[in-house]
Amino acid sequence: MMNKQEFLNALSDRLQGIPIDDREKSLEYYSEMIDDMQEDGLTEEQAVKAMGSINEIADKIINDMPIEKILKTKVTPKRKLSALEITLIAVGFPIWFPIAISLIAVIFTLYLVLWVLILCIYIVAFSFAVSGIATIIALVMSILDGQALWGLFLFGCGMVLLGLAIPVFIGALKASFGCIHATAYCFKKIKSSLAKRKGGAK
Amino acid sequence: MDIQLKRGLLEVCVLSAIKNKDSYGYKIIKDVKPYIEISESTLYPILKRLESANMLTVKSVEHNGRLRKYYHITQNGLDRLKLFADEHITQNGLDRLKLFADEWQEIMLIYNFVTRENDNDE
Repeated sequence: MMNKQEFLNALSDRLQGIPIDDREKSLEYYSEMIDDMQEDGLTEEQAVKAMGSINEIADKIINDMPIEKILKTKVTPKRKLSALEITLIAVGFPIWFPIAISLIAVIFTLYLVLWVLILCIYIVAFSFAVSGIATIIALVMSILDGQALWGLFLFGCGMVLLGLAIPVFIGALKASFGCIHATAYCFKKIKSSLAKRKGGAK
Repeated sequence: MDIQLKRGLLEVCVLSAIKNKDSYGYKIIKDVKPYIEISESTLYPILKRLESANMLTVKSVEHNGRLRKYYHITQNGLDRLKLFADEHITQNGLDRLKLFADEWQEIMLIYNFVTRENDNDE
């Protein structure tokens, strides 16, 4: 069981990564909410419990914050770097900078490759459809040529392809949506882990 | 329910809860809860969003030796409510909403809340 002050302290700890104004506003909001619940007849502990999980509350606040704000908070670290660390960072620059850049490039390329693969599925679906339609023309030509049987065979193959184009296209659509969702999810994770890292480094 | 739709409905409900009289966080939740699911942690980002969209203003008022934030609806907020009501009363809006048949009841409940006459309990 937690009392109000413990709840607010814990929440404040989890929100170290966001600007101080926003943090204080959130704390004021929850403090007022708990007070109002108590006035309504709940005990302090019950009111705190009604707020739900601190992690969830913190995640909602962080996710709602524009990423620029979180990044900006990072610029003012609470702990000053020692002279040794600054020297190491400066001396190591020719080593870590290219590594960091290539790492980012690799991740970006992999991401691009993923989308290209999805694009390929679309192209497959599209070519199935086009060749299916083309066999209609082939059928007409074959009949004019007196080779109707051959034309019918081609036409049959074409219809199978056309039929295949539909599930392939749906698959491609699903893959795209999956990719978009995964991107959004990663973005959210990066955001909250940025905020959390700063929270831990106090 | 679709997240975008739900977010929009929640915003409209919160505005509606302060339409006739300034209100505060806890009371807003109590007023809105019968119509749509809302918790303390979902209300906070909505209030922030509405404030930055200039649909409401915040004022701290002393209450029992502490400060309580009261939310006051602005003209923008009233316009937003009017837009919601107009959108849903036109045939076009009704047709569009029928697309989510299972959500229809829920939305009508909210619609009635938004378009209700002045509260007579206060």
